[in-house]
Amino acid sequence: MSGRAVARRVAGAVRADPAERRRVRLLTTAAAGGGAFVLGGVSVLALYATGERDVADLAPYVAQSGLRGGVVLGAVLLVVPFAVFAVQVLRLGSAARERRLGALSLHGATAADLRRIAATEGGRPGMYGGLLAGPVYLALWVLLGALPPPGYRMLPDPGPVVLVSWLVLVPALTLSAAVTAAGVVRAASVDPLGRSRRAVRPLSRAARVVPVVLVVLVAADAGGLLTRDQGSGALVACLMLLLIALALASGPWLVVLAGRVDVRRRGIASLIAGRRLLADPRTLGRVAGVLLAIGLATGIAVGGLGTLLDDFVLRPEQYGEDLLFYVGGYLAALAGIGFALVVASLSLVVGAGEQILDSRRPTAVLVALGASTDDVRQVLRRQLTAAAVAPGTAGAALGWVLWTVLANGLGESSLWFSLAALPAAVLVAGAAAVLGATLAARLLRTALAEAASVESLRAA
Amino acid sequence: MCIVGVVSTSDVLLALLVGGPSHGYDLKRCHDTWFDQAKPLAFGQVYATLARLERDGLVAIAHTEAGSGPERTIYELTPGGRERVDAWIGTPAEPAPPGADELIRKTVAAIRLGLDPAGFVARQRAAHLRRMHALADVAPSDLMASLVREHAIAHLDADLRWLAAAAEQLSAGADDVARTATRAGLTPGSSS
Amino acid sequence: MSEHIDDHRPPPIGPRTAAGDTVLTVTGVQHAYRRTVALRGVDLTVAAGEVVAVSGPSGCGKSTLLHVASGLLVAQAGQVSLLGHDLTRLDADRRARLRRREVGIVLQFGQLVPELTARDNVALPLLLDGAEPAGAGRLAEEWLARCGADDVAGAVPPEMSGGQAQRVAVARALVTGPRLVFADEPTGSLDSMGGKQLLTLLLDAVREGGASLVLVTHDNTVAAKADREVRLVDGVVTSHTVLR
Repeated sequence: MSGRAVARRVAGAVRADPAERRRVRLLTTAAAGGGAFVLGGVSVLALYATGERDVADLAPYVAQSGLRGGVVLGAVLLVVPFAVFAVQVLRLGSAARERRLGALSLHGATAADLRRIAATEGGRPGMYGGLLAGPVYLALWVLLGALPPPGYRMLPDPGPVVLVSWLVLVPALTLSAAVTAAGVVRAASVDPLGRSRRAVRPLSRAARVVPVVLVVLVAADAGGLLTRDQGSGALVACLMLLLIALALASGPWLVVLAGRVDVRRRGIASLIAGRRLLADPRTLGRVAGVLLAIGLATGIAVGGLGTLLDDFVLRPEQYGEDLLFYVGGYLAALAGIGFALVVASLSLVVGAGEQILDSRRPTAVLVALGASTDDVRQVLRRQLTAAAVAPGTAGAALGWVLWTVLANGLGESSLWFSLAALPAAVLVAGAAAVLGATLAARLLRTALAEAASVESLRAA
Repeated sequence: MCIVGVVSTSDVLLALLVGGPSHGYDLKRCHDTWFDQAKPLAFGQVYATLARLERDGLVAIAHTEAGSGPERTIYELTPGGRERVDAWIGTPAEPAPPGADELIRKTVAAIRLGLDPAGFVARQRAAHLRRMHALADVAPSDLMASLVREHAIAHLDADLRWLAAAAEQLSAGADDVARTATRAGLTPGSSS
Repeated sequence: MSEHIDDHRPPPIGPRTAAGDTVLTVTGVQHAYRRTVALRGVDLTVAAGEVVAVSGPSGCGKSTLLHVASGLLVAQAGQVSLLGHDLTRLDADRRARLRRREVGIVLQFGQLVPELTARDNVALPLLLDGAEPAGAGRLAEEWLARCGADDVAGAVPPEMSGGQAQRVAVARALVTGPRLVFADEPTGSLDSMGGKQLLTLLLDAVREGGASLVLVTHDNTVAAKADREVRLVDGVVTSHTVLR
């Protein structure tokens, strides 16, 4: 039987595996969620074309073409956590799966065969997700567009543009999912004793260069903004996107830093956690990147709120009822950020869960040597903290700095709210990250207990 | 216990002479040191064999030396003798056939006939293990002795593994017999 | 015939030498997994300084006995007294404490934490107990040298050969000066030469430290090196042989 045929047979059997089914469900969810926000963003974007006639009942942020860009940007930014989540699920795909691939390649399946299988395995959930994105978008529209009273609606009624976008989205998602899956397939190497070893790629030179390049671009963009008298929507949007990219690229490096710090600390849990972070910075690094971005957004939003309040104190007559309008905008932004945090926490659970599975045997051995349950939980908590709390708080501080520099917030207005915004942002981001990490630890408790049980000593 | 195949004394003496011309006494000493598990060679046997080999042209008398005691004859290998040694080493030893070993007979009897099979297996295992333990305790004097000891241990191990497998197979077979007997209406164990 | 084996439960047999305390007493232990019964009533006693081999065909019984005896697993029935402590009365954390101070464990393979160096791996039981890192590291290096593995002290497990990793595991099992060492097929994944060397190392180190050793193995040549052999077949002890 050719390697290709063997591969196909196995792929068929694999589809029934419950771990695989869960993976497919997660991918589908990620694709559906991200796709729905894309459709939402498109529907708002379409208002530029249809003119002012449809904006009667919409919230001012969406109705006014000047502010609309921010909402569209927000929708795009909310797609990022879903995308990272999807990549997380695709890239990990369980140690058992890579072992299976390793065994397949022993039987003669070529790399091309494996890529083909992976593409099908990835493309399918992409397609389902794309199809589901339609109904999910409709649910989103009901929540944000139909239910709220007039004047508070965030999403316009769906029109033909959305339908067309959906029809384009489905193949686009299928293709991108398939391509990512195929590009990521990594068969584990199988040693002569039949034990397989997962290949973990260390951070490449590109990973070093990209953040530096992005920092330069961000500085250029920020510089451009500072030197203009008038704000530029395009530059701002560009800056936002560059910041997101920079955050995502810096995530793994933050994890490496956290790992180095942990290794020097006293205590065996820190040592093990630190070494695990250093051995595989990418998995939790992805989540760290998202949380860094979330932190940045929080810092900027809270900073903006601070400036607004300072300005109001100085010139209350300028605002009147509009204060609610502006504050509402910032609160809506924070709500969106909170939602992104939830999705990021799911990425954290998936990533950490996979690492727990991978280290089943060493965890069981630790218990055999006499580690207490607390020791074992400490290792996990350290890893989750490194991935969530440090990036979140650092991002918030940086975001506040960015906002202050760019908006010239420390100028004529009184400083109290602006200054208070810094600790407020850090506190909010930090608390949210701690909440996310604690939730993740709770969800992973069973998996950890299983890894620590005696049966795991049998695991390869 | 396994049976060590009968080794021709001539082949061994010829091989020992590859090391250089020797006196019969030295050859005997070498043999006994190397193969200390086997019976030591008798002097008479050594000289008789050497004489026979000389007659057949496989060894020759190098010289005789007069020492403090009786005359010592030094023997050396002839080219024909060397060829014979090469042929001996060149032909692999016949894998020893098991033969009608006492161990096999006892085991089959005990298990097949239900003569306290569990007890027999335990006792036989104990005997083999104790012998292995005793062998392992003695540190071998050199590489040769170590090789001979390892051979003994390996055979004891083989016997033990055979014993465990036999016990399993034969009791499974006995179960079948018992089941057939029950079905046929006979009480189990009344016939074999 | 075969029922004889199923019902047979030899009375607990103590060590040959009356001198020396008992370090381990297992009585009537039973344990079953989802579909298999691993232990059906097993008794075992180990005296101080003894080497006991637990042999038998492959199956989970021998390893389960080890897990129960070391306190890793609580048996579904029966008593275990380890160094005077009744394991059935201790909670998981107290059993863990007992394990890391008084017990050494050597497995067949894959027992080192892959992200830690050999030195850190050996120091692990000490560090888990809260020992100060510098002192623990020095002790670890001492034991690595004694086990002939000091050349890999700074290496991580993926960089070591099987034999080196097992040597590190032996060093780790002995670093706390335990009174009882459990070894589960320690030579199982090594070639015959490496296996012999490792076994010699293990036996010498244990005897030097005055510790007892419970050695689970399906290899007769390994079992023959012990002072006593207990054979476990289908979850019961079928024979008990004094070898020394």
